[in-house]
Amino acid sequence: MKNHKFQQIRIRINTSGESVRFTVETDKLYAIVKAIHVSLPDSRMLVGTSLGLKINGQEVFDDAHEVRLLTCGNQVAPNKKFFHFEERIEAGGSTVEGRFTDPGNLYKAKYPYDVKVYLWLVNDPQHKR
Amino acid sequence: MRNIRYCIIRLEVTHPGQVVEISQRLPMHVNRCTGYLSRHTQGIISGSDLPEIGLLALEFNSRKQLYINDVIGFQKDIGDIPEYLDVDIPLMNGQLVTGYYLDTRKIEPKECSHKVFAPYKVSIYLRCDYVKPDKDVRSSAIHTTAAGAAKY
Amino acid sequence: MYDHLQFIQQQLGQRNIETALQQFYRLTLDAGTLYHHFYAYNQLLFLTNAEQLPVGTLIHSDCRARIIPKDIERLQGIEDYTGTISIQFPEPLEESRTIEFIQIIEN
Repeated sequence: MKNHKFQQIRIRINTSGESVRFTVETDKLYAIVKAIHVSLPDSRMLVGTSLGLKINGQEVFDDAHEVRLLTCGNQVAPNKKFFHFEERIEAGGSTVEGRFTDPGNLYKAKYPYDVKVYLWLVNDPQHKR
Repeated sequence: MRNIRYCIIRLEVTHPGQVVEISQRLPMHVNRCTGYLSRHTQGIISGSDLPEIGLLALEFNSRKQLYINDVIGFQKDIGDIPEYLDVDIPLMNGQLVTGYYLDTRKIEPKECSHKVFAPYKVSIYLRCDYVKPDKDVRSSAIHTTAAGAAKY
Repeated sequence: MYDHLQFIQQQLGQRNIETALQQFYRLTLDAGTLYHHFYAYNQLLFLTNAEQLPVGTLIHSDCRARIIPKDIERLQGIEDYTGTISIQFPEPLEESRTIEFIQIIEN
């Protein structure tokens, strides 16, 4: 039985203010999306950056949901850096639709850059922190 | 009672954008990976934290499944003792941990030479459980090798 | 002669991967392309014509990252990629290129 997976989704942002839509699917060997972590190349870029997310047709985050509410600084321990979903979100090959929006001009970011979204997938529904 | 063994995979990055391949056999007696942690351990000197210096991917059990993708950062200060990320990965005896580390540091073109780039090291720590073999006093007292072989 | 198809079948067997479909997947990149990425979750893509890629090209996926080496034409092995797959060329392509994979859709 495979219990854990950290599935990575990379999104390329080419220009300031760009809003990128992406569609992927979760690994079908895992039943539940337990948590999420979003990684940006510079923590100053968190201000104003937003991520919308819909999994299996279920809206998880509105398009205006700020990334700074989903992530943390580099100094945070690995075991605490994920944002845990309170509700049950089905994985198992679910379609993940998202929109990442760069705030533009707030910070002199180096373009292009990659955003990494990590989905923590599990099989055991009882697995809670 | 849990018996824990920390398995360490050490990587050395010597040039910008390098891909370091990982292929390491875990000890035969570990049977479950319960924690994961990776850290820059040596080489980078910076006045500020770097959220990303590279990307890491790990597969367990000889590529049976991709389990871990992670961003590796750099911390200038030593903070609290880091907590392992709790995982629960069954391990088959003596199989390979494979994957890669990709250096993604943004180096300005004028700096992008081997003379300027400082090599650095990254370590991956896997907290693994193992089962101690039952001690058979009589058998092992007579012939250790025979007693060990008899269990298998 | 090294048999790619046999190698793939052995790999899938060793890794307990059941195949729903095996087919070719071709990706044509236009002249001027410097970076391209696409998503391939729940599937494996074995790159079959790596020698067509410029030396120094970085192919990066969830399970593997590879920089095309100078002696790529003397190498026989094929490697698989999955998840977010990005292709970063060292310079913009002078002419269009078609990259070919053997695509394994997992059951």
